[in-house]
Amino acid sequence: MADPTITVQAHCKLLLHAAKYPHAAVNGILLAEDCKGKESSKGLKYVDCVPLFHVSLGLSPMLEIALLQIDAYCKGKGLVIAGYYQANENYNDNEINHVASTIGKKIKENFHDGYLLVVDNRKVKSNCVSQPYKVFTLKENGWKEVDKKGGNSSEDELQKEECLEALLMSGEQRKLRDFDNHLDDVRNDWRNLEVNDMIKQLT
Amino acid sequence: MAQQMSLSEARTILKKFRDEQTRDSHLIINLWNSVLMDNCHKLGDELWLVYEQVCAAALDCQRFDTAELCIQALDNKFPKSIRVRRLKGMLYEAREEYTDAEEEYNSILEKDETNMYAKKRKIAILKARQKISEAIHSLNDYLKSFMTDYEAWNELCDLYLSQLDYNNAAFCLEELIMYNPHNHLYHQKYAEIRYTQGGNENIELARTYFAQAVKLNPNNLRALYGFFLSSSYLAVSSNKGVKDKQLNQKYSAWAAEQIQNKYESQQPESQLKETKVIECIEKLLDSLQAN
Amino acid sequence: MAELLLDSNIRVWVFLPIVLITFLIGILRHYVTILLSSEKKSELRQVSDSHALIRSRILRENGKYIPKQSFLVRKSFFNNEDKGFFKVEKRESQAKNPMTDPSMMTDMMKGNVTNVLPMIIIGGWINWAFSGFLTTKVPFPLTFRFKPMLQRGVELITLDASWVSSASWYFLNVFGLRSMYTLILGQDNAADQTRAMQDQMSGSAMMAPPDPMKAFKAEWEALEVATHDWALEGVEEELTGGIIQPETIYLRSKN
Repeated sequence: MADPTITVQAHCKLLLHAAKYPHAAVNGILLAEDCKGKESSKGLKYVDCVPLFHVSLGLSPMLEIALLQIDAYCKGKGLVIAGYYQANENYNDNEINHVASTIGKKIKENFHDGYLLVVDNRKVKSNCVSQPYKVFTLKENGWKEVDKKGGNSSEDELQKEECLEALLMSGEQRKLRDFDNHLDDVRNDWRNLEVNDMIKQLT
Repeated sequence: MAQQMSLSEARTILKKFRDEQTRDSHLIINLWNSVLMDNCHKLGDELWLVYEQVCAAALDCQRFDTAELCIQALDNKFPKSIRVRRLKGMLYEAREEYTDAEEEYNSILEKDETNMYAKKRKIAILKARQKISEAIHSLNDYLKSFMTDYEAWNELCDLYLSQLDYNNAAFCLEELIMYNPHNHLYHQKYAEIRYTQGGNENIELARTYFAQAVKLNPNNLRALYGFFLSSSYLAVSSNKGVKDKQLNQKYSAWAAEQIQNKYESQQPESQLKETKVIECIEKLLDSLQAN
Repeated sequence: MAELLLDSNIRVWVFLPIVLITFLIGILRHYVTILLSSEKKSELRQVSDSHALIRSRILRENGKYIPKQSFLVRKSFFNNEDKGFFKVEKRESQAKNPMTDPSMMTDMMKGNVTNVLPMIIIGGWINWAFSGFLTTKVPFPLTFRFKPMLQRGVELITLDASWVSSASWYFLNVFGLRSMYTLILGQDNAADQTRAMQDQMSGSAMMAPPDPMKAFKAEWEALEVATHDWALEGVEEELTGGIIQPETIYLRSKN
């Protein structure tokens, strides 16, 4: 199984989500292109992410609703729910907890090649050079970290860093809307089209 | 933006944050730096409350110099004050000097054993050190003495949820419901916990509490969704009689209608079409009817 | 009933000075109380007892909003014959006898010094300094019996009881200026004598009940008879059946 690649858009959005709520745990879904029936030799590529919650991550009703909605959306766009990310509440905690494990397993049931990303809170900042999250995959005896051996080219990495720095400096994280925001007010769009445009402009 | 704000506007915002317990630390620090710091002398007696507020915000934003300044000013005015010592303890905590922080809180407790703040900060230290089960244990002990501290019950509920201990989390939330029985958010969260636990009895309870939350606040979308999900689940659940199933179908149809109407009336056309919320719900409803 | 016309000098030299004096004494009393007030040291036991009693009361009042099982669990926690909180916790009844408890004595003395003593002294001084003439007329008629009380120093049998002397005006001010103090000194000010008197009468029932065992017993009895009448019964029907429709819920259009 090839290592997953993550586009700038997915990378930046998930880190913006973590930056928007520094005092809380946040989680979200990673979307990949639906390669069913096509040759999947290139490995998994996460093209977008949908930030989910920043309150009560461990409760299932809203998660079910979110997954249903995102699934319906994905089918229309040729995407598929292929991964899950989480940033823990505690600054120094970058391990998988019960919640992440349970949800990750659920995603993997529906998409076999799914991965779990855990954000390292200490690296959510504008001038971070190393990878700010750990990637895990489910093996027989639990979740194991995937060593990224040059999955992305260094040019890509540089682009991601620069983009993220620009976004954090301009306070773009305040414009990000997650599913919790959507449930508070349905006009909030969890697709975050404005942020997507901003990212496109910067790259 | 903050530069143009006048002193009185800044004061009003800060007072509003104090009354509503809002935690917008960035804004507070910006206001302090741009407007308030130079106009301290015009604040009168409010100055000390502002110092306390700005200190806490500075700790949130890791601005230790500002925090120390505030603590120094407060210490000069109120030497030997327990309230100021608590802020000192929090400064240690923000710097991750947990041993020093604990010492500070212990000395506060020696002077006044009923000081709830110091006890709770010690539990916060345990949580910061990721000793969750110890934190839960300490918080339980604390609540034996201070049974009506609802902030503590809320925190305990969240701690139990992080450990997936839904029964105890539900217990904590019941305390909150009794304390404030007309708060729709407590009913909704309680229902979510019961739903997550699973099992017909729990989901029936969840359905009831979701309904109560909707009754208290018809705009609560989460409660509407929850009501929809729980009645849908019960409508297809195998060990329910026909009459029950029909009743649940009626409930989920009602909830679906409310949700759809909400989306149609509030969301813009394009968003609605793309995210396909309405179709999603209709599909679920159809699958219910089919059963 | 004679319509008396008072010398305008009375207004300037008696009426207003008494108001001023009362007001300033009140403010002075406020600051003196703050200076003299000792820190009330609360005991953990007392605090947690009062918390327990409050929780039990809330359980009785709002228990109907939680499921029946949860209510019974908590009721058993408090009232169980063998392990219930109100049965197991024994407290020695603290003698709140003012004579033996030294801290209570000092508190009482301080209360007296700041409140009662000034009132007596100032009242007496005003009576002496402003004696012999009428100050004002109260707008409502009074009976004959009030005359000796309110007309100290003015021994006129035929005088209407509504006319009062300066001492009575002083006492009127003491009670009347309460709201002025609230305006100027904020709530909870120590210049408010009437509140101090009320506090003494109710006997610090706020933080610590004078006798915890009695309070526990009373609460045990009250909880024992409390029943659980689930408030959420039938709420789904109520919501969807259309008995009570909140305005923002969309009503199905009539075909």
